[in-house]
Amino acid sequence: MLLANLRWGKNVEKMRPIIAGVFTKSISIFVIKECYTVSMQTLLFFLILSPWIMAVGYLVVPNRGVLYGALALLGAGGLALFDTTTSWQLSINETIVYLIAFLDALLLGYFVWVGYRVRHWGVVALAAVQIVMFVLIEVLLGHGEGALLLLREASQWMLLIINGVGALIVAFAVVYIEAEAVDAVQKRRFVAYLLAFMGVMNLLVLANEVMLFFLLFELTTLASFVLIGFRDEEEARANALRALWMNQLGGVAILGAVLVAYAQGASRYIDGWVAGEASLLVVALMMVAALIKGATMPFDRWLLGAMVAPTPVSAMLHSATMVKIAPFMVLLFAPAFSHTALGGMMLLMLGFSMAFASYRGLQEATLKGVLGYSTIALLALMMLLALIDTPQSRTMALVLMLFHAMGKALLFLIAGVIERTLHAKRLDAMQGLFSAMPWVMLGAVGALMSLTLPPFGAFWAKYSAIVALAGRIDGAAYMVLVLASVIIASALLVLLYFKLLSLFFATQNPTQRITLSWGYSVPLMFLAAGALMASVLYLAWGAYAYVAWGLLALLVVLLLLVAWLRLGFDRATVYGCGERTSVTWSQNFYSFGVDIERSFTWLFGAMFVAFLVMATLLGVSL
Amino acid sequence: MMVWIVLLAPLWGGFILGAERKIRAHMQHRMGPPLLQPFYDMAKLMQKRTTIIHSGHALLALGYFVTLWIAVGVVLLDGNVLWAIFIHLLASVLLVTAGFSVPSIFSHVGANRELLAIVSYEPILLLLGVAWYVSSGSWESGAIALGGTYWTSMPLLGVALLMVVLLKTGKSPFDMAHAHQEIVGGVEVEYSGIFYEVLYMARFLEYIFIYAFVFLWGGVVAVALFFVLANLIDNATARLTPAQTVRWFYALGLPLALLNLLGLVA
Repeated sequence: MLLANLRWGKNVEKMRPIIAGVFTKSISIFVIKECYTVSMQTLLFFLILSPWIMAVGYLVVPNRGVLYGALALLGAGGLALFDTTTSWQLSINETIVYLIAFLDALLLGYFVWVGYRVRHWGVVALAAVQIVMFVLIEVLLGHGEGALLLLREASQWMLLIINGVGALIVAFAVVYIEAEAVDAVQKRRFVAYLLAFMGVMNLLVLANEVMLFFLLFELTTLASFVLIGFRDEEEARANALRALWMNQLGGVAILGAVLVAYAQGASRYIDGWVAGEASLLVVALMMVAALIKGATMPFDRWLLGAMVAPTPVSAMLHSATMVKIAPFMVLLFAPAFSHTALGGMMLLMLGFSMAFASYRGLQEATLKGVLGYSTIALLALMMLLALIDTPQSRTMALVLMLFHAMGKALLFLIAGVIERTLHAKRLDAMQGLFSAMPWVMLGAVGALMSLTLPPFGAFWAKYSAIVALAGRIDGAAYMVLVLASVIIASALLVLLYFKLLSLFFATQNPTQRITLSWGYSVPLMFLAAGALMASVLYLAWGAYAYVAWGLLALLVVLLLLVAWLRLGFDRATVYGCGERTSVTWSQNFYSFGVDIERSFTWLFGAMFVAFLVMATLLGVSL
Repeated sequence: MMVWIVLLAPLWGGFILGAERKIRAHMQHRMGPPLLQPFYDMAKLMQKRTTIIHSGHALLALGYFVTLWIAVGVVLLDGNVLWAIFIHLLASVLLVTAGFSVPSIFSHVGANRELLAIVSYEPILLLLGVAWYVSSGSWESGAIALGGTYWTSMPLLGVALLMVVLLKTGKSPFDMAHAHQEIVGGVEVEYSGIFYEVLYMARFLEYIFIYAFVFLWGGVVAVALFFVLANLIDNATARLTPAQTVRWFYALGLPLALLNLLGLVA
């Protein structure tokens, strides 16, 4: 009796943080709902500031229960804000402008120091260029009147992704990092970095003044650099530096945009630029920053290099939130150039990029590599939808961003679980996972389906992209190429995702069942349930609901049957045509060969240059 | 009338398959099996003792069959052709999942080849859908059918569609996915009794599905022509390897489809 009580007590001890988290979440939704009718501003400030407070708090008092509760509040905040339609803005004031300038200077100085410390002169040079441009801007530009922060529809979706999905990733990261071979301070720091990064993102999606946007853009670059290099290994350091200098190019592009905008008499506010103040050259330079952040070809290498980081970092920065800055920026600027020749060129770049990334993933030998390339492909699709700029395609870009964030976060976290429990990163070491952890792998299969197949949300985006492009095809022959790229890419993604199943199921001997701790499984469950619920909600609005509902019902029934119903037929072992050979399972890879790939890289480089030349010509003749 | 075709789709598919075997036999100067042979096979399979590997494997075959039936329904009952293609894709992926879910080498090879088949034919079907949209202004198969036949405006897409028909109905030279002599039917090999029957009937549905596209493209004449052509080609060619098949589709089928589409919009 006593023994039983003791064991129960121990379980309660383990369960408490989770129960606290769930409980706080349900309460906080109610409380926040009551509050924001009073002041939406309070809610926004809460979202902007509390990640920083949590970061500092966790460094000082690393209490997991408190952190779970705070994360639940943050997620609820994102959800509550999503539920409103009010627009909101904060005007600029003198003090904040100086503060931003000060922080900008500090950050650029830090980049110089980082570059100098490891003798990476590219980083130093880029930072120096940025400093020169920055000083010019500060000397030349007046502040004018405008909104410092602006809440847009796209910001609401981004806030939901950052705080909803992000909070679950951080909750996972707390447990994940425990098993890392670093000291306790480093572990706390890791969680604090992730939290601070959430604060940066929450502010970034609201920023309207361009120097503030630049500061936050560079801060996400910094976060990338620090977190990719977190595992202090040779490869990690090299990849972190590559991510740094490539994204610094994006920073240079933004500063270039500000200078060009100044020369052409525009203000320093993004909403003004989009409303027609800025020339196409300014917009194009901002798009260069977006293309680099979104790892569009030929800038894919930094994102693939980023996969050496601890898995929660890949989930958070390099798939769910940070790289979503790219489609977010395209959503902001699309009205300014969607129907120009420049927009056409960018559509072509994005379509090709999507097709090539889906193909390139076919030869990746690690799970994270596969997920990385599929992220690049789907980011290109998001940007493409945003760029088409019809009300429907804009919405679909946002829907895809949300579903991709949930699906990919789930897959990355599962990759993390596999890494921790089986110490496997390469695909060929992942045999027979299904019998080891059936529920987790069922989640993985579901996530893969949710990214490609009807009736799930990401599929609707693919479908809408085809419909929207077909709507613009008449008289625009190049659109046939964009459309063909999207169509080929969607077929290749099916191959890329589902060839993985070969290994997940493959084994002839049953493997030992692995049970996961709550710290791992609860975030996974939330993400899977979130993706499913969002699909159902989305279907409830969508056209063709009857077909889609039928399919969803079919899938659910199948899953339930598989899970509970043991069919009453006799069992047999596999027949295999009577052959009793022992089989070594391996993964299929597909490639055209290195030469063709190299020529594709050149093609992407040439397209990028052509994009810049076009922008310059069109921008000068404003 | 269409409702009856959809509701009894496996039945019509069975007749088509029976007729096909008859025609092919005549081409080879054989008698061939009776027209109703597919139904005799069906009856026989029903009497067999069913053994399964595991529930999921058996149920995925059922899911494949039902989803495929829905796809056939969407394309025949004036539904959106893109939808039909994507629901068909879902069905195919369920079959692939089934193939991977058992540790049998033939099943895995078959599933991998099924995936390569999807990569080959799906872009062409989707481009055909887009071409129909450009010509008729609608994605709905009813409106597409009202737009007449597309022999003259989409001849190259017709050739590409013939390649897809060969692949989907398991005809040489593009029959790598089933390839009985080589991988003993691929995914099918691990099924028996009633569940094998389900897969067998799903094959009928695949016929109806792809020939519905042929019908939309060129009416009854095209269906008859493609049917005879497919069997002629099947008799006259040898099987290509999976890599060769993909190459044929990307080097010939896809460029043809793209050229045709470019011609339509330019």
